[in-house]
Amino acid sequence: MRDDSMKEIVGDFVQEALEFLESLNENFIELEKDPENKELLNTIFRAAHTIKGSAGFLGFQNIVELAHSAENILNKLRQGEISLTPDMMDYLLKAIDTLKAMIIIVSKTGTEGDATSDNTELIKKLDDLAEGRILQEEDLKVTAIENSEIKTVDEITNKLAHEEKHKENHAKTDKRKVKNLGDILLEDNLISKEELEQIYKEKEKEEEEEKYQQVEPGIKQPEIKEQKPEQNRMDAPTEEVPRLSVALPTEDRRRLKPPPVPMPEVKETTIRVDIDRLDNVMNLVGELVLARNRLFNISSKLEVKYEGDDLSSALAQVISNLNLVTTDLQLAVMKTRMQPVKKIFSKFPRMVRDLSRELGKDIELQIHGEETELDKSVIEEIGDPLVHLIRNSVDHGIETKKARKKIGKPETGIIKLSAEHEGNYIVITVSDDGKGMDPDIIKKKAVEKGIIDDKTALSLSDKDALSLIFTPGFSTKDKATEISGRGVGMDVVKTNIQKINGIIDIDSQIGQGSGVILKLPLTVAIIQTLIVGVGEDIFAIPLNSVVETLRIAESSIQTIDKHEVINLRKSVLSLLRLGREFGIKESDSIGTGSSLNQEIYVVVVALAEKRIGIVVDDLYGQEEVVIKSLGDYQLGYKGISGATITGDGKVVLIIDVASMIESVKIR
Amino acid sequence: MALDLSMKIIVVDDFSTMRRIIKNILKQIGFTNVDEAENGQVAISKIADGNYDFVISDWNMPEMNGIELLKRVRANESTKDLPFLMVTAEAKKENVLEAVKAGVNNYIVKPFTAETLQEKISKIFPD
Repeated sequence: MRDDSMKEIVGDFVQEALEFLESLNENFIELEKDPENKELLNTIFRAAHTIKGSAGFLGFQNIVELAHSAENILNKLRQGEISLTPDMMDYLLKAIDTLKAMIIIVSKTGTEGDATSDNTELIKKLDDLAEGRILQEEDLKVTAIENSEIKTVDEITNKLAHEEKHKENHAKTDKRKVKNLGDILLEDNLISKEELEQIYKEKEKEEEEEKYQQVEPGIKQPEIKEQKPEQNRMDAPTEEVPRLSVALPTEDRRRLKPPPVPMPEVKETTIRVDIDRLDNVMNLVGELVLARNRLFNISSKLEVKYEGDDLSSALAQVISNLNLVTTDLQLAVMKTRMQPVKKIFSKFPRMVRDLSRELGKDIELQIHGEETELDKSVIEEIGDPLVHLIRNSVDHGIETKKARKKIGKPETGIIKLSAEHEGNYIVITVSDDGKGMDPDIIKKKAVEKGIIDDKTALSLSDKDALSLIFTPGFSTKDKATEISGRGVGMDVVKTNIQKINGIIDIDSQIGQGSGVILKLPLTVAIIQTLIVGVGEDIFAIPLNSVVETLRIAESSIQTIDKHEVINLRKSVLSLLRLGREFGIKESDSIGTGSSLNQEIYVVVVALAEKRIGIVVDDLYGQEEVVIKSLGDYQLGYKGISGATITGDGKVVLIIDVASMIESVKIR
Repeated sequence: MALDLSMKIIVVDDFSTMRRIIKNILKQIGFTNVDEAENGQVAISKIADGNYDFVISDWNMPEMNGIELLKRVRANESTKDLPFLMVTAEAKKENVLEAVKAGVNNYIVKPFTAETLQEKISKIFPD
């Protein structure tokens, strides 16, 4: 164990053990609802057991000790010797957290370190919990070898292993090439001949009963058809067995035993792949998509130029085939990067449980659509935002039991967390049936904190007022609680969702609850864009951010504080003229205000909770593009997130919606 | 030590770290031909097609545990004499007896060292 692979093994252990612990969290919450579930208890027990086992090999004694204590309780639980109490659950969960922390230390330092030695109290508590209710039980039943003083058979075998080996063969073992445990135990005088014979006798009896049962008519013999040919041959005379079994000598009986029920063949079906490799494949597919777009474009031009020409129509056919394959390939590659949101959702039941216990609230977390899949990079970004949103619901949203009772709501508050597909988006919703948010209180707070002034407050719609909670430094609770309200939470939500070009929508009814809706793009590398024109130039706006496009009369633009706005369905929408932003000469008469009857295009874009309208001259259509970074060239040019090559071979700049919205906010 | 170091061994455990550890220890002893399976079901199908000389299996596994695996190995004519070493964390007498009954060749308590494993294997394959 001292060779180089040791380090790798420790790495494996860390990864696998952490995965186990993660799933344990989930299992425990389920167990609390269904404490009698033996299957679940077995799974949990096995996880603790496995971690203990391999930690033992690697010499992580502290982990072994803690895992052992947890395993001890779990073993008693699964054998029904004790029953689960909330208190016990708390300590078991704590043990899992501690184990996780210890393993993380191992992953960082390669050793356990000294910091973990203060588990004595936790271990003692766990042991008390395990022992407290079964003082009369004899220890033997639950004692594992490591800390046992009892002379178990194995201990003796171990000891004797170092003694002289191989006494004279016993008569029974004469014809065998290999020995079995029975012989070894007998040899070492750990078991008497009578005892061993007794065991074998029992075994034969059981086998006979089994055999009898299996051939008895009326008893099902499933899967017999699937047997391999040689097994069939061996057991062909099935119907004769009942008669024969009585007459045959013992040795021969075994041969007539029914074959084992063949198990369906199980192959390893997953492999772990370095994420860099997937990123590389994704990149290559991106290049392919660009080439495909380009070919597509050329081919359609050729077809016009040489109409009816055999070669050009053959080319068109090949390209349309290539088109299909590329699209499928792209989807397939995207799928390899997808992970179910369960990966993040699974930690929330535990979190809600802990928080609500702490606050003395009664809360049920309902989860829907956890099998919905998202790109890995998106998954990584939404974990923290969801933590904050759910904490918020638990802390600020759901009322205390008393308050709920008073207003006639059921004592148990409900928080719903759901994920679903919606076109090219995944929509994740966090909602609660709590007290909701009051736009007026939010406005008042925002004015107090100097986030907005009185005048703005008056003009804000209720919906816009709700969005104020995403402003940095905003927290409605006067006194920050342990759980949320440190004034950073919602800001983090916004930042992270923006990073992945997601959209935040917020909805709240006073007294009935709040909901936050996150609209997230399926993937980040290859995107659908809206191609727009300003003057002679062409830009691409990520379609993920586009809410709608409008054609409005120049005359409907109003000016507030020297800023151009329009009134869109009772909400004020700030406008940004793309041409002006980039210093492009706009086509005649547009933007100069000379012709008020002139119609212009407005692309309404949204990011996180903000919406603005981008004024452009032309809308050309939709195109799938691959974002290419501009690298150093991009420095200093705000408003551009990258570039791409369109089907007609032009390099087109991709608009960075986030910084556009930012620039509207600043002025 | 007349151990045949080239015999084909299959290590069965649901925890891949554990499989690596055991394989590592076997390598230390000098065994060269070691395969693995992550549970009893995989092991059964592998054992059925491959000519294994020796099985080292964990006791406590999901899907199919070690005892069940052992029983199936013993129940099949072609593998009924296949040497089988059970790895376990429990040292209770009733467990040992259950293993004896199922026809195990020897058993070993984890964690163990290369020396212990070698002793256990030597017991199964006497000179």
